Amino acid sequence: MDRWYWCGSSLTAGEVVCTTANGIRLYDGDKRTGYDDGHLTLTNHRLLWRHESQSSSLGLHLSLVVLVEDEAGGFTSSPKLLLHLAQPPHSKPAGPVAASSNSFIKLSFRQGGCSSFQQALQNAIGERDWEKVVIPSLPASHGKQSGGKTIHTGILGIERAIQAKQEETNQNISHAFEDLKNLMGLAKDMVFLSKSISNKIKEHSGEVSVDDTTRFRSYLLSLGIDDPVTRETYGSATQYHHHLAKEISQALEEPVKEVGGVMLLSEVYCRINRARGLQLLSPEDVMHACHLMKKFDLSLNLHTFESGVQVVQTAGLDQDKVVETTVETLKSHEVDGVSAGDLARECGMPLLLAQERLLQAERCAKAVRDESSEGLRFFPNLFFSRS
Amino acid sequence: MRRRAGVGAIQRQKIQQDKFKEKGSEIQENQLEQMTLQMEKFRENLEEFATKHKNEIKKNPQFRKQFQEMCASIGVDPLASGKGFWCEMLGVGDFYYELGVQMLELCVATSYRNGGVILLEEVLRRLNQRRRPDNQISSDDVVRAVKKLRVLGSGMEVVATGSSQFIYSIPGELSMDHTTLLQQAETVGHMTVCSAASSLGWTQERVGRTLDHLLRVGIAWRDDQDRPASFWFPAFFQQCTTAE
Repeated sequence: MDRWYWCGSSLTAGEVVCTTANGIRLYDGDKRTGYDDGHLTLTNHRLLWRHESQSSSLGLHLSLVVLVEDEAGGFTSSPKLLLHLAQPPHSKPAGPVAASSNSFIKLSFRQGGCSSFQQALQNAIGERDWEKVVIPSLPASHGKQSGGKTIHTGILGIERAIQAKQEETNQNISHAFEDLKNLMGLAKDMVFLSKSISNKIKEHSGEVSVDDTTRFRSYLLSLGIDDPVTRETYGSATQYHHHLAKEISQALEEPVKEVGGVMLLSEVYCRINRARGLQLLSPEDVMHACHLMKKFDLSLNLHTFESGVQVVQTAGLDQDKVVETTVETLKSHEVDGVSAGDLARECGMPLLLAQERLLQAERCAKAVRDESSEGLRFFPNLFFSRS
Repeated sequence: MRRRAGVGAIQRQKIQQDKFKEKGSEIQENQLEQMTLQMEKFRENLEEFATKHKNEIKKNPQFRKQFQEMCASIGVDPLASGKGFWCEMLGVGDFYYELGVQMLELCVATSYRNGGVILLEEVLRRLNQRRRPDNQISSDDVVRAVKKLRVLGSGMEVVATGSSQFIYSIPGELSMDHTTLLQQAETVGHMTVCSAASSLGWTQERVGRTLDHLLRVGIAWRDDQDRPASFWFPAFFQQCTTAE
């Protein structure tokens, strides 16, 4: 009880009210005190207790609270919060009790609200806002000639500018979040509407015209909604992707030839986006576009290996020729064998591609593997060629 | 309506069904019209939002994360296509796709050293070094960008082991054993078969097998001049993380 001190009811700089409760009785340890039926305010720095008839409050700084426990109320007693307190600093102003033998107090919630208050109290203690340094904001002068001018220069001026900017950013962000919430509300309605339209399409597939469906699918693409129904029947590609397919194959025909006729899809993604600079393509855009290449008989094709690796290669690239070239490389390293890393370094191709080529050669029975702790190495298939 | 018998009843029923179908298509057309109207309204609102807050998206990682989470909660993927409203007007796409390109390039550049396994923190540090201080990226941004890259089939993914997260850009999967050993490697930097077996409580054979695999894919290096042979993990080398 000796940690409480008399103070005014106004808040200090940087202090904000977190929550309040009525009908609070203060206990010194386990003993009741005469401070009953008061209004308790929790701020981010202190606890303030005040009786209606008085103007001054009892304050308790939150830095002194070591532990908060709760005692459930029974038939005759109300729920209580038990606050274990640290020793008060010598500089503590005068309070109602000079010294107390108890190092804990209790707050009795005669009118309820105990658990929510406990939550707020623990949050406030966890935040430790009183330790944060508050940059003092100088009040602007209100057009008076006497009294201080608003200081724009020097360190105070800089601090003022920083704080003003911080406040402005905070304001902006909270506005931004508000606007974002409204925007999301609109978007949510449209997602709902699109679901019901796609259900209609599923049920009456003969009656929805192709134009309408195309329009609907372009809306889905604009919003970024993934609709399984239309995806199954029509695929995810739209006019936009057809256009992209042509663009990619035109732009990358030469580069692909330069690297030997085959390029990893991730490499394609990087190159086309670097070339574009602005209005970049999403990975899905690139993938859908490349899937369409074969349909349009373009100069590049997408090829997917069994392991899931995807490459873009020049149309008409003969798989057999590729295998032959790989086997040639193997033959020149008959003694040691060739690992994926070796092939990648020698032929200047990415590691994934080298691996796929070796596996492809193995599938065609032109190469054999040797797996050991030295790594995975491939050799020409002498069982076939020499037997 | 009481069912009646006879040809007349069948004909009436058919007329009724046709009328229902017609009404159905009418309603559906209305729905599509309604959607068109709503799209226009949404587009206007999004434009307004963009003029006010486009910068927030670029500069504030917290705002970006909030934005992505809200989109996900209503079932919308703002990064699905560069042609979508979100990308065209807010420029969200450019941010993440560019990040994807940078990640791919970074992984290719460092894979000869770390075998295709790189710490998320190192990625953040390297990429943020090149960016302006008010344009920094967060780990949430990187994770989302990597998720998007998966459709390209290059096997890139984010894996969490214990306290830290890695970006794997190697093909093939790593099992629980491999990731546990990597976690161990992160704390000690290098290990022998015996030291790993005793600290993890595994059999030596199990440790040997796991280390073999990591050796094969290039994540671990073996020093045979040490007796017994010790294993090192370039992904965690101090020199690797500070060198450019």
